[in-house]
Parts: sequence; C-alpha cells; structure tokens
Amino acid sequence: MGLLAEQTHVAAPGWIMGLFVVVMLLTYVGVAYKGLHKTVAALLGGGVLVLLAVYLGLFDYHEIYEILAKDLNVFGVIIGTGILVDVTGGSGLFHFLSMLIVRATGGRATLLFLAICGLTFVFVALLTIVPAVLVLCSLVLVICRSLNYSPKPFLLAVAICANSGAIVTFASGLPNIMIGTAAGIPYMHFLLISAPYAVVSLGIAMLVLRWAFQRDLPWKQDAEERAQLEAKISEFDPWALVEDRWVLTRSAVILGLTVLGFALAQPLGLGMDYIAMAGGTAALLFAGRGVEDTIAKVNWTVILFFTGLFLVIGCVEATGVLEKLAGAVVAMAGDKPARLIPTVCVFSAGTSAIVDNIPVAATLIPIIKSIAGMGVAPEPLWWSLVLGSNLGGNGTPIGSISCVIALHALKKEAKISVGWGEFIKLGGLIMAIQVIGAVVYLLLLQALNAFPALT
Amino acid sequence: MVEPTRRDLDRAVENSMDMFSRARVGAVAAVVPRRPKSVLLAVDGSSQDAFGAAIAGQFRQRFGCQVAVVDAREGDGAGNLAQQTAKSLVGKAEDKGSGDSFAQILEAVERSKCDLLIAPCPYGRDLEAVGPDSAGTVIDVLLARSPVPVLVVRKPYQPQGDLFHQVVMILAAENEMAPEAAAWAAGMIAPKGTFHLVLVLEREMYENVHALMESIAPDMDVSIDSLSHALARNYMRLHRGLQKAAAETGFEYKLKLQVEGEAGPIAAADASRPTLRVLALERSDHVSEGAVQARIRQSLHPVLVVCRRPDAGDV
Repeated sequence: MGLLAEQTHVAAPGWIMGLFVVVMLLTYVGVAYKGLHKTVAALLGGGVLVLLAVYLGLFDYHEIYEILAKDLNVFGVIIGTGILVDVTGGSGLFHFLSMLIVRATGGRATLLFLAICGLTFVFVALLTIVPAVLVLCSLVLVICRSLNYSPKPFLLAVAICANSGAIVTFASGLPNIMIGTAAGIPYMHFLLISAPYAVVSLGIAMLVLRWAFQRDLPWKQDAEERAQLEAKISEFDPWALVEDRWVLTRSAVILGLTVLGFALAQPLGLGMDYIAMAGGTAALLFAGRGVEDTIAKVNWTVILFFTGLFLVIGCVEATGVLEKLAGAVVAMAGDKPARLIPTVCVFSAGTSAIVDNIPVAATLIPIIKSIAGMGVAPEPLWWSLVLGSNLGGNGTPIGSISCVIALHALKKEAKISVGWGEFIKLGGLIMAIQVIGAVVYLLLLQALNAFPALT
Repeated sequence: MVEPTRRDLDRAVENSMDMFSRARVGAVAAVVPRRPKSVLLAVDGSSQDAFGAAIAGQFRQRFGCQVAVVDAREGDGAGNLAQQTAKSLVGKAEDKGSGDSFAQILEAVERSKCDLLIAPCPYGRDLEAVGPDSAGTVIDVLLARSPVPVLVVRKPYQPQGDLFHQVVMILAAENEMAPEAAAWAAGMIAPKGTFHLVLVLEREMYENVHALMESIAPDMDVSIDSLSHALARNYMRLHRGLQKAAAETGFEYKLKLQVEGEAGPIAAADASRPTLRVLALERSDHVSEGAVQARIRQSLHPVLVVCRRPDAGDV
C-alpha cells in the first residue's frame, strides 16, 4: 500500500491530508453505523477518495490497480478458506464433532460449560468466527432447551471465547490474515507466539465467566440429577447428523491437509493464498458438494468490503499522513518496544471494541510499517496488533461479530436481552484483563528476546 | 467483521438448530434387511423378460428363494414361455389362467404364496412405444391390489455381475411404508453396493405450504430449507437405522436432502447400468399414489414399490 508515500516519500499538503483523514473517519463511522451496510460504507469511502486522489493529482488512476494488487493474496485466502469452510461445514463434520463431545459431558453443567468454551476456541481457530459461532450458538440453544439450562451463560461464553480462538492461527480471523499477509508472518509464528496467549486468554475468559454466572447454572449436581441429564443427553445421537461418512472423512482430511499446508507454506516457498486456494479446490473436487452452489456461497460481501477498505487506506496512505502519524506515535511513545507494545495493543483493542477490528487493523498496518521504517523492530508491534485487535472485540456487544451473533440468537430464540451495560461489565472486564495480560506477555517475550525475526 | 444480515443470520441459526435437533433420535435399532423367500416373475414375451428373469435368477442364487413364473397374457396363444423361463431359472411355471392379465397375475401371487412380484412395465405393451406416458393398466391394478411388493422392470438392461450395486430410495413426504420399503431395499442391495436415501422436497409441496402459512402466520418465514429440514427430521430414525444396517451388512449408505429438480443421485444414476429405485406406496394417500405412478413412468431403471397388503392393519 501507499504508492506516493512509498515511491516518492513526498507528503501531500496538510489540507489534503486532513481532507482524506476526514473522509476515512467518516467511512469508519459509516462502517460502525447500523443504518448503513458496512460494504456500502467502505465502497463509498473508497470511491470518494479515489476520485479526490485522481483530481487532486495525488496519483494517476491506473495506480489504484497497484493498490489492490498488493492485497490480492488476502482475497485469495478469503476465497480459498471460504470455499473450504463452506464445504467442510456443509459435510456436518463440525456438527457431528460438537454433538459427540457435548454428549460425552453427560449434560452436566460444569462439563458442558468447559466443552462449549473449548469447542468454541478450537472451531474458531479452524473455521473462523462466523461459521464456528453459528454452529456453537445453535448447539447451545438446542441442548439448553433439552436440558432446561439457561442458554445465556453458554451463549456469552461462545461470544467471548470466540475472540480467543481468533488469535490462534494465521487463518483464524480476517485481521490475522491481513496482518500476517502484510507483515509476512509465517503460520508457525502464530502457533509460537499468539496461540499460547490464546490459551491463556481463554482461561481468563472462562474463569471470569464461571464467576459471573455462579448463580445462573447448577454447577454442582447430585447423582440423581446427573442420571436424569444423562438420560436426556443420550437421546442425541451424533451419528444421525452424518449424511455421508465418506464426504465427512474426505472433508476432515482436506481441512487437515490445508492446515498442514499453511504450517509448511514458508518452507515450501508458497504463499498462504496458494494453500488456501488449493484447499478450496480440493474441497470442490473431492468433498461431494455442488461446485456452483459452493462458489456462490463465497462471501462476496467481505471481498467487496475489503476492496473498498483497501482503496480507502491506499488513498490515505498516498497522502503521507499515515507516515506522519507513525512519526507522531514514535515521538510520543518513543522508539522503545516497552512503550510501543502497550500503546499499539491498548489502542487497537480500544478502537476495535468500538468500530470494527478490520478497519482498525487496515489502518494500523501501514502505520506499523512506517514505524518499522524508522529503525524500530516491527515484530512486537505486529503481535500487539494481532492480540489487541482480536481481544478488543470482547469489550462491547458490537465489538466482535461473535458477540453480535450470540446476543442476537439469545434474544431471538430465548427472548433474553443483554444490554450494553450488562455486557460491558462482563465483556469489558474480560477484555481489560486479557489486554493487560497480552501486554505483560508481549513485554515478557520482548525481554526474553523471544520474538522470531521476520524476513 | 462484516456480519451477515439479520435475516441471513436468523436463517443460518435456525438451519443449524434444525440440524442439531435431527440428532435427537433416541435409541434406534438397525433396519433388518428383508429378502424374498419366494418370487413370482410375470412374463409377457417382451424384451424386458430377459432382465426380469435375470433379477429372479440372481435372487434365487443370493437368497435361495423359490421362483415361480406366470405368463399372464390374455388369450390362448401364449405358447410355453412360462415353462421355458421357469426351466432356465430352476423354478416352477404357474398354470395359465384366463381373463385379464392383472387378474391372472394376482391369482398366481395368491397361489404361489410369493412375497415379491417381478413384472415388466408396461405389461404386454412395448415400452418404446408407450414411453413415459403410461405405466399400463396391468401395473396400475397391480400397484393398487398386490398383497406383495412389486418390482417393475422398465428398460431391458443386459444383466452383468451382481445387480443393484446402486439402490436409490426416494421419499417425498411422510410415508408409513417407508420403514418396510427401507428393509426391502437393504435386503436387495448388492454386497458392497451403495444405498442412497433421497429425501426430495417437491416444489409444488413447498409452494402449497408456503401459501397456506402466509395466510395463517404471515410473519413466519417458511423457507425451502426449513421444509427440507422438517422432512429430514421425519426420517432421522430411519436414516440412523439404515446407517446401522450399512455398518452391519457392509454396504455403503448416503443420505441426500434434495429439492426437486436439483442435481442428486436420482438424476446422476448411470443410465448404462440398472439402479434399483425403491418407492414406498401408501395406498390410501393420493399424493403417494400419484408420486409412485409418476416416478415409475419417468424411470428407465427398475422400480421396487413396497406397499401394504390391502387387508393389513396399521403398520
């Protein structure tokens, strides 16, 4: 990104910078505003800024293709993983596995809670947030109806634990894909750096949730209650969810191989987008689903949203304002990681809780690149952005798509509303502890010089 | 992150909940495969006779069942077709009766005490000439009156190796004969064959339900998916029973939810090899009767129709 800034390092006049920043912020307001579709807001912002950039002589029109070309790999990952997730999800693999595990809990509240939190974490790590949370929310609603539990503690657990799962791997969430692609972070680095803290943040969330809902669930159940629950839960037979055993097996194998491919992409000299597209193609070939139907389910809304967003960021970056902002950050916080880590982590978490973590990540990526150009080691900052932008989603009911889905399902299916105040008390507390923990964790890694260097 | 619209979200959650609800089947026993002990083959001198005889011969080989043959053509000049066919099948020729072909066949069914009838369709008429326009009067009456399942032979396939490597059982609505039909289908599938249970949501049914629900509950969103899931829920115990039968018996089993007209195992069946289609017939149900008639007429593959005995009580 950032043609003018990168190629000529000539900053645009201050008023142009100001104008572009205003349009960018208005775009973000549009993204956050419920009355306007996020994709429309992003495309509108991108369209206006391209027009301004061309007519104010910031760059020639054809250079927008260079802006978009730099992020083609992100589109490749989104399309490939989208197909893969649709096919594996449609095979019933995740419904089957989750029902199998939930049945193994015998319906006991404590084990069920642990199972739901753990499943959310793992499924989000493998599937990304939206499909995983949809599976888990519906599972919770069906099981809670059958066992007469309140779905609220479980659905809030899904909403919040999902954001821990989102930091496990490169492909667990869109911010990771964007940051990982821009910074050239190998998949294995995610397993080394963010995955361990994902587990810690999951532990934090589970402890706080257990404490917050101590009166909402029968955590201690006697032998008779357990026997009744066992009888009820054993009415569910996970194998009934399997329509075709071979499709299920093939889907699991393709998903497993794709994850392995992500891990080995760098040694193989391949890009993540290639692995994702190869996984998607294998899913189309072997997983027994209609090709046309599956391709039609690729999330074109997300792709158009990113198109608009990348244009917005590319245009703003071309004014040189982001570079200037990076300089201001370094001037304010210094060039020491001990100050930059908390700054980036807390800022990205706070803004992600209010706006959306994708524009936050998209805006901060060129800023961190600029900071790196000032002689500051970029690795701690990239990880601060990964952890901050994902965990920030726990702060408000609209901070993360997992919260939006879970709270909507809770209201629609169980007629239980969770207000902003109630959610912030719980989610905000968890976010605060998780973000503080993340800062401590990253500072510790910095002190131990444990960040793997990026090539 | 870009979230789905509220409507998409509601639909996705409902579909996923429907799917999980389908797992609530309780304890289910494996479907017990049902195999014929005695088969009656009706012949009419058409090109379909050879394939009908091959099916009867293979059942005799695989299941050790007795085979009887009846030539039910009207009139006296039928010759010794039944005797010749019975001889080649090491079976028994039923005496030729008089009167309508369907009456002769039904009499032979009673006399032979068979539990499966194999008949060419249309009986006594050229399949090429009639095409998909009619299954013929004889088959219509047999479907209405036969006390045993009827396996109708359509295209005169050249029999090769084990027959019925592919079995496609089609259900389009609630049908009380479905378990019985599944048991027969599981019994007839070739060793290591593939059994498809296809639950077809007919567009006409969807449009009817949708129109009715719009007047009863205008706010209720009745989608094709929700009806398809409802149909699936109806047959989950059967599905699980077939899964268990597949594991015990060694055939491959697949469930397919399909909206009428979509690609699936029905349309994908290899036209060069016979795929056994299995239909459950509820005699008192006009929709079921009409659907069975239509599917037989449109099929070139052999069709097994499993119906209740006319004098039997509730299943």
